[in-house]
Amino acid sequence: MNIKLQRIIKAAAFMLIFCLLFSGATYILRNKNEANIVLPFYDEPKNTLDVIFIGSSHVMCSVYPMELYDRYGIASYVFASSAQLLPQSYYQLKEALRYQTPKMIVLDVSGVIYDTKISTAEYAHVQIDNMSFSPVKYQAIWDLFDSGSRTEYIFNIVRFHSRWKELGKNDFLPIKSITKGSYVSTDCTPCSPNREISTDDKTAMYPTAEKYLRMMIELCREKGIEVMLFNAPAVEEHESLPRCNAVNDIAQEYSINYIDLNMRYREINFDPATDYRDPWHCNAKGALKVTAFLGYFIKANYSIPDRRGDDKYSFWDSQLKEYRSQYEY
Amino acid sequence: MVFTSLKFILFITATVIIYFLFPKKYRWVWLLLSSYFFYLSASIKYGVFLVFSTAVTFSAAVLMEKLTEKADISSLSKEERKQAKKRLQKRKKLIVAFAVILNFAVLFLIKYYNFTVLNISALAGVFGIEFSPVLSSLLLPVGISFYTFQVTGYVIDVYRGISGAERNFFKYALFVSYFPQIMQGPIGRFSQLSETLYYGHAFEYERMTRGIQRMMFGFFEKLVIADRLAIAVDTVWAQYSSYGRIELILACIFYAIQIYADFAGYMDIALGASEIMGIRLSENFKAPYFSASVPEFWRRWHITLGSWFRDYLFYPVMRSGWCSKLGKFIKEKFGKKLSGKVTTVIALMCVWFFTGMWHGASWHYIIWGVYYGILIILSTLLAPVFDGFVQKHSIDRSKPLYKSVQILKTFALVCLGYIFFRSTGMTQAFGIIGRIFSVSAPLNSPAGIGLDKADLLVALIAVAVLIITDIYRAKEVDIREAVAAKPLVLRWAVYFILLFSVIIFGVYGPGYSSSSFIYFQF
Repeated sequence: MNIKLQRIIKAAAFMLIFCLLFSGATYILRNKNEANIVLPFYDEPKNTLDVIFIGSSHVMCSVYPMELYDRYGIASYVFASSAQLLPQSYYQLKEALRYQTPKMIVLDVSGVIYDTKISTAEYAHVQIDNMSFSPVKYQAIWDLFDSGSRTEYIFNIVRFHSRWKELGKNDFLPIKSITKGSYVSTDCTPCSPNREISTDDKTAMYPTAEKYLRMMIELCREKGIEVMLFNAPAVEEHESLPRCNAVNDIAQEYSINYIDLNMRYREINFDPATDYRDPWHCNAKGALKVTAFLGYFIKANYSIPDRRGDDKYSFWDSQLKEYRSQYEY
Repeated sequence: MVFTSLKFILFITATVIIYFLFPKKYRWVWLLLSSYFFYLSASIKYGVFLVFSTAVTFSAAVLMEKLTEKADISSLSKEERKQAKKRLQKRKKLIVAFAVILNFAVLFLIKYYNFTVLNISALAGVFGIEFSPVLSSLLLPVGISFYTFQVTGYVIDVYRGISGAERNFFKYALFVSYFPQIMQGPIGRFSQLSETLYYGHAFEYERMTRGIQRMMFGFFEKLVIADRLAIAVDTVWAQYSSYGRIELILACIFYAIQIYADFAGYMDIALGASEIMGIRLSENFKAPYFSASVPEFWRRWHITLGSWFRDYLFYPVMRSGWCSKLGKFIKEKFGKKLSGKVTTVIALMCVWFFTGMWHGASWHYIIWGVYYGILIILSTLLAPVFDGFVQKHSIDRSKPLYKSVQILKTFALVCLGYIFFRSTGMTQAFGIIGRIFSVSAPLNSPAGIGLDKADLLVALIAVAVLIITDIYRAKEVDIREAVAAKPLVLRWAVYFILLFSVIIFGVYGPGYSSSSFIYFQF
């Protein structure tokens, strides 16, 4: 073997070992926030999910896909991350569509009350770091962050390398979860009900939020996917309700459904005194009410197949069994 | 573009690849383009000063050389020839003086004007004359202290006939702006640098790997050692009055290591990057903390600055007319021995006053310089006394214990000097010294120094690595060659450990506030 070829092989081997070690170190050092909720999405068999919920922790805490399957036979996943705003959701949706061809997308619009593309760098990392390596991830990084901060999202080791001091057992173990993207909690914080407002009481949407909401609806339309807009119960701040009401106009414009359970929580017997984990998120008790209502509504208004008893979906039954053995609420 | 940024890594990668893709003859053109891109990426405005200094010194050198070429003295008589030579020398002197003064005037205006007028105003205030000086708001262009020394050194060399004048403006512009060295040196000499800079070096695999290894070690020094210790140093210095003597002494030692790892780290990155392209820059350090005396320390620390002061200030002062006259006067009155000593002391004090001042327009830098001046003068003057003492007590100078004590003594003196250097002013410097030597100050304090046990352990291991490599450097053993001679698995293990030490234990990213190299400010 001539020396040139030898050197090329050596250099390539060095680079390969470097890449392996680098990705290993990146994985171990990264913050694993919500990784157990989001990463199992990638383990779902391709093109088997019929409904995908996209959004923030609001939807993550209020919709339990396992209950949707158990009660209505709906094969769904909550592909969300905490404090995810609508621009982030757009890329989350694009990412979901790389793996699945759902019949329906439910978009959590709670982010309409913000005019920025992301909330904080920490939360943005939760979303971006849990995305697979794909062009969508880099499109998201390019669009959501300024040039000074993109590096830390491309190579998250830039932010998290200082975690070497705080590594624990979980940083080395494979990530597993059976909740299909939902966060199950039985904690309870008694809250007061939202103030009553009429649907006419509305504040114009922020341009950024509106732009990305439209982009998501149009993307789904392009792909022939049904879209529904959704807002989970939360003890909203004073100006949030009118801001969310403005979503009605968009929904009417596109002739799609918008369910704001902040306005309609009484319809589902949602009790702010017992059904909140904290003022912004449902607990299991609340989530069961929200999930039951959504399942009923989806079944009644969209043609989503019942996958129970379908051989192709038998793995859902075994997962449901495991889920029931792990979670009691 | 800081050397430790991802931008720089991308920049150097692209620069190296394109360098070797360029026709050999024009590789220097690519270096010039990338150097200006590198420099101007800091600020376009800075470029004006750089071009000005380049143009002035280029023209002065060419003019001096042309004058010499034009001066046809072959047909003249001996006396006329002497006269013509004298005239030529005078004209050349005028040109070199003009170029040097102009460059230093720019440096003065930007760096020292405010300091000077504020001090004049304060001094006038003592005599009851009150005035509020007009202050300059000019920003200090990065690297100006370094390239001003490099260009003035060049015109003086041309004046002295040590170097020929570069006739190609763009080639000369590269000598001034070459990106690895413009920000922090090493301060290059035209006679050494020009050849290696303009030559179109061929790609060499071994050289590339060696260059990358040196750069990696530079990153290690800067990010793992310097920036980690900086956290403790900054914490203690900011609130020195709440710390005990142990923490203050520890902070001084940490600062000594920090500034070395910072500056030597920069040099390793600069020299490593150059080595990849076959360009050899001057070494700036030679394991300085293994010096047995302060003068030796300064021969091994920031070598190119020390040699600049030696060649362009110390010797000219010693040989100047007024110094010779003074020497003569003292010789007549007090004898030859004292005459030599007085002129040396004067020249040394000039050097160390300006060395201090070169580092910054502030009294604490000047005091730091003068402190070294005094130490070096004392060690020169008292050398016979020490020699006598050593002889009288039959101390074996070759024994490791003697050497170790000398090294520790030098390190302690250097650390003491750093208190002036690191402090923001004289009050802080004397406050720290006062506390270290005060019996009433507590021995230690419960306040943390900003680094936890894990960080201190990493720092300790990293410093041990630095000491080991410095032992090799002091012995002039090429550590990279020693590692390269090991079996593949072992040497790759070394490379990966170094690489991942930087990636994992480096102080960078949003988790840490970003820090630039210390010598950037000079």
